[in-house]
Amino acid sequence: MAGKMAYRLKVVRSLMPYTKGVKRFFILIFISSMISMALGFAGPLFYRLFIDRVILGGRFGQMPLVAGGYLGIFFLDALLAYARKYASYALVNTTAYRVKEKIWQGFFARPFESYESEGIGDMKMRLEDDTAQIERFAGYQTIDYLISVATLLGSALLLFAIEWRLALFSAIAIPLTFWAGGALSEKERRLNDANRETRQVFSSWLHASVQGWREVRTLGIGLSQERKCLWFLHRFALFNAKWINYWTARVLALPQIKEELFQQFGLYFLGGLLIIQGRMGIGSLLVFVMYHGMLSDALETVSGTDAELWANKPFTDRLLEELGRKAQPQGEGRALPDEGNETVFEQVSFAYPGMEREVLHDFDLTIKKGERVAIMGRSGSGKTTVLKLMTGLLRPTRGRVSFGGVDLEEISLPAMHARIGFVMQENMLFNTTIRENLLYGKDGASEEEMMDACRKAYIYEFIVGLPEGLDTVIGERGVKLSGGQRQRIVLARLFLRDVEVFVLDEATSALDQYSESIVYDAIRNIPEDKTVIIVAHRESSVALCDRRVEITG
Amino acid sequence: MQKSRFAAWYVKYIIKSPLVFYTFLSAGVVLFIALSLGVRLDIAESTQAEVQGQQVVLDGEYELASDTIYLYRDRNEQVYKLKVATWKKGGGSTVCIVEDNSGLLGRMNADVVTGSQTLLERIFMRGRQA
Amino acid sequence: MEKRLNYLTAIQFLSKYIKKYKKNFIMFYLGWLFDTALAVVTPILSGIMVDEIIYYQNLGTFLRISLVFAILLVFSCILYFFIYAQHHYLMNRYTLDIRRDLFAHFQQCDAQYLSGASTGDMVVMFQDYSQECMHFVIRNVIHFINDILSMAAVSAYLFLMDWRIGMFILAAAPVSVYVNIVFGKRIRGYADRQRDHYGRYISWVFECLSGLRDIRMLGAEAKVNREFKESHRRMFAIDTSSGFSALTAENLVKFTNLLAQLAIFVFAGYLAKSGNITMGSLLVTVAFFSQLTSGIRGCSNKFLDAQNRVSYVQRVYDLLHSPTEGQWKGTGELHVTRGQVSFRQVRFAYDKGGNVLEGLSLEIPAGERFALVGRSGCGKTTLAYMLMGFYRPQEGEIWIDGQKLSECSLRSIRRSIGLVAQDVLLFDGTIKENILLGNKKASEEEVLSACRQSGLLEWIGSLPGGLDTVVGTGGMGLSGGQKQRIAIARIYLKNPRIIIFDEATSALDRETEESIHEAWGSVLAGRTSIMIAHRLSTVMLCGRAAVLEKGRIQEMGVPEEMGRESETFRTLFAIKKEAS
Repeated sequence: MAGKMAYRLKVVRSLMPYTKGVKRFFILIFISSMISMALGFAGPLFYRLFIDRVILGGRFGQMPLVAGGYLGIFFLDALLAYARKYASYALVNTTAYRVKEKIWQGFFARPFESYESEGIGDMKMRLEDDTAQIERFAGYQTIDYLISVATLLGSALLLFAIEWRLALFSAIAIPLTFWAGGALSEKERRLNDANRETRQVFSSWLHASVQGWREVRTLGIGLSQERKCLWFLHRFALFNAKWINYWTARVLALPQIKEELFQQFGLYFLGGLLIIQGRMGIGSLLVFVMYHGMLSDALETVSGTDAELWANKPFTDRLLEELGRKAQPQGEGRALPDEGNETVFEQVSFAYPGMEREVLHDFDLTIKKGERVAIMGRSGSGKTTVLKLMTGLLRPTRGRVSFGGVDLEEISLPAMHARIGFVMQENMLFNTTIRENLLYGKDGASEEEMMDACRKAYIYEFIVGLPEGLDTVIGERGVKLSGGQRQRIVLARLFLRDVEVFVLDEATSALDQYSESIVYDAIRNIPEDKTVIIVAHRESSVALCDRRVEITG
Repeated sequence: MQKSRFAAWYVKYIIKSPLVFYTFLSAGVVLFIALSLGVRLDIAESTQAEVQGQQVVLDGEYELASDTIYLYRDRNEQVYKLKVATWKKGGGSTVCIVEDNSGLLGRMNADVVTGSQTLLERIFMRGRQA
Repeated sequence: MEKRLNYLTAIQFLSKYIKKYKKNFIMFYLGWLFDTALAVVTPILSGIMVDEIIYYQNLGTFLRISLVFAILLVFSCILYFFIYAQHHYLMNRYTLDIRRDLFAHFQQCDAQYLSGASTGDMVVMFQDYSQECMHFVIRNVIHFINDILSMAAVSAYLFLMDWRIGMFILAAAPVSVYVNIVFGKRIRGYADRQRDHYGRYISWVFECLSGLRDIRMLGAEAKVNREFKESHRRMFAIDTSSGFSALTAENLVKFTNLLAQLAIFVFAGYLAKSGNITMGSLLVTVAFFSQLTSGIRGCSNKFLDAQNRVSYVQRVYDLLHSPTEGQWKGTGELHVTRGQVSFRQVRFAYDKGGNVLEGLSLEIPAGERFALVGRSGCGKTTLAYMLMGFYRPQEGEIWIDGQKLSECSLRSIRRSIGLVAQDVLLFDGTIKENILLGNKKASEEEVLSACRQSGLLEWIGSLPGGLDTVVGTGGMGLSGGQKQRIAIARIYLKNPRIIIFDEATSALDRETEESIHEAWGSVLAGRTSIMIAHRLSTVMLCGRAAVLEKGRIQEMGVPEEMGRESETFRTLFAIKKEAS
């Protein structure tokens, strides 16, 4: 139990930074819980009053006192419940949001390389499933725990005060509960751990299968997909079968048994014997039973909280790990001098991880501001690699890439990204309206600005021709548009951003011929003082450029 | 392997087969009925009584089924168990001779055991609510 | 078939899963019934025990009653064991069944429905909502029924004990019921909205997580973060409202119960004054009453909770009742020997739109490489996909090798046609596994041969793990070109006579595209291929091209000639008129 307490404190300490400004709610919840606890102890007193004076004593006149007591307790408790609920929501929502925000922003701060290796399913689980634990810590795991411990001690004392022999019998329940609870929750925890990995794998698989449904149909592998799904399901079923036994035993069965044997029978039996011996009055026995009920509930809560804490440790651990992750300082990094626009490659070599052959070897290149450069070369010669190195997506194995005189290793990436606009191989469009997608390029852009950008990208006509215009929803990954239309919207977004350097992987752009030629016209529209870097193949675009750079393997 | 043998046995007999379960239920019911038929509880009737020395006169005619009568002023306070040596009923009242009257005197309430019933009857056919 | 489920219809819907395990359900239910009965009997026994002890001091009787009591309790403990065994079994099997059905149905879902659905939503549905269905049945139905039964039994007993007590209870009950109904509706409303929001939020999250790189490069973090905040604010607001509603409902019910309890206390006090009540019967009354109130509270909670859950059940219901490809009537086997395709007077419109295709007729002889071109949205993809049975023409007929498509089974159709699209399906697994998706019975040699044909062999050779290299999450990432080659390898293994290329190379750079075109060279031999193309280079691979406009084929001919003679063609591909 001590170990669990220590763990609990550790979690609370980790969450503390996120509770700035809302700590007062925590105190509010605590105080109201304490008052409710006190009210809880008061309840049986009024019952005692009722039994002794009204029933046994026949003094009906005492009834209003009893009724008043009960009603008073109720209203106070109800009021406190509202206050508690309000405070609880405020506390939990704020804390949970801040934690999630940190995790979310953390995703954006990671080095680009890590995006390859971490699965989406995993990231989602960190963001959603692991953070679900926070809710438990704002109330249940902290305050309820403390209150229950207090209630436990308080009621135990009262029980001993009323009748110590009977109290001894009740007391047996305490160590028994902790022992059973501890053993069972440990087993739960191990199972949870093992199952988590399966869940992740399943999540990724499901995602791929659902998204690729067309191909699944055409390949005719629907049945084997079902079989695979079933395989996963059976694994889960197996896990569940084991896990739920422990959970039920701990949460449902044991308490039931205890209640039946102890409360219903044992107390009355022994109490009855004591009454016969004249050591105890019936009124005391009834009140004893009530306080024992409180003890029992408090015991369940204490052991239950401990057990739940332990069983969910895998999730909480991951949460703590995520919180402790040092963010790659995003905003930091050296700022760029105002006029800094040069891209310089110095003796850069690069090989993909796991590959021996270097794609680039001792590569040198300088692109000055305002230049128009066409990068050419055969397939596999590394053109796209050069672009990725230029933009910080990849890090050179040897050598140095700098932008505006600042080494990319040290640079402030957001500052750099604000100056450079890219149109790369796979571009991201959101399942929302065209307008929203454009706004991703420049937040708060005005209608005219957007229209202007669309005109430059030669997609204005098309948008205007749509029944809902800018508010047309483009479907998941832009599926409702053709490849060419998608690229033109991406281009429009670029124009909206008003960048200094345009990097176009023209060779990879998925434009239909019609649009491609239009884009060529659009490129001509780019002001003279901007730098344009094109991975080009069409003679016409090469003609646009001042310089050509051949990349040979 | 041992685990799955147990698991298979478990599933087959506990979960899939109704036989074990229904046998258990029936056994339980039968046991309960048998036991509660076996326990007999006294049926008591309340009435007024007059204590005069060794003699307790009950209002009304009753067949005493046991040799104990209970006297009290307030049931929730003190109830006195008195052993009856002989009793005779007649004339709208029942006269009991007690061995020791515990120093009681005068008009009191009395509960008289007039019969017995099984626990089963007591639970389901509630004897008169006092 | 859009139907809004309520409590009862939700049960109806789920009952089909129950029927399968009828035996177990009955055992489970009987177990609970017995438990409920025991819960009623035990306070009575306690009361009797107490009376015997307090008043009559009959130790012997007391002990005997205690024995019966004890045995009863042991019985009840063993009963729990049985009940929970059934419960686990049912939970497990049931959830599995629903998930399996969901997935199976998903495999059959109509293409139109799926095109509009979002991936993240579906995933959440499989994983979480299915479990809620079972919880619904067990907690919100069975336990609920049992609670009602026990309350009825207890009330009846109390009534028999003293009709006046019964009256107090009768007064309290309707108020509780009313409170529950009113608040229940409100909570259901909140729950539905929350489901909606959450589904959209998760889809959006998945989208963002897929495109973290792009978002950063766009500098769009600020916007994304704002949306993140906004989504949460909305969801928290609903959560809070719902929570407060539930709390109010709970308090109202508690208050009503308290009043009734006090009334009973008053009544008992009055009886006590006239000396007419025993401790035991008071105990029983109080115990029963508290059972009653907790029963009412429990029922009330379960009912409100059910409202929450029904919205989950609703989503599951909706998916399972969405239109499927079962509407396809054909059952015959499609035998493709040559690969000749004809469309005759085909008309097609989406559910909510005008005609995409109208009076369209087209003949594609066997073995031809055919290009389908036209502006975006003109229906090229629809046309090609109709060939695979994804869409059904409203009028007209499609023939392959003289067989009507509508008379053939979807399975046989799809077996004979291959699809190469822009997005290639890739699972986390080895390269070999991914290629084998084309034909799982292929031998190692066949796989290697396919790799050679598609140009993958050299690259695979350079990998330490070879064919067994793991790709995907936690493994290697693949470039666009490599994915396309895998798709080609799959086609080789599948060996269909007809292949559809849906803008397959439009995401690739020119050089890669050229080499892919080379790799296609041998695949296309002897097969009919239909290419939906935006690039002139692709069209040039083909023997014939057709322009689709305004729902029909406007022009057709050899690509070079069309480049010279067709205005439309030239506009599409921006071919400058050659001066010669």
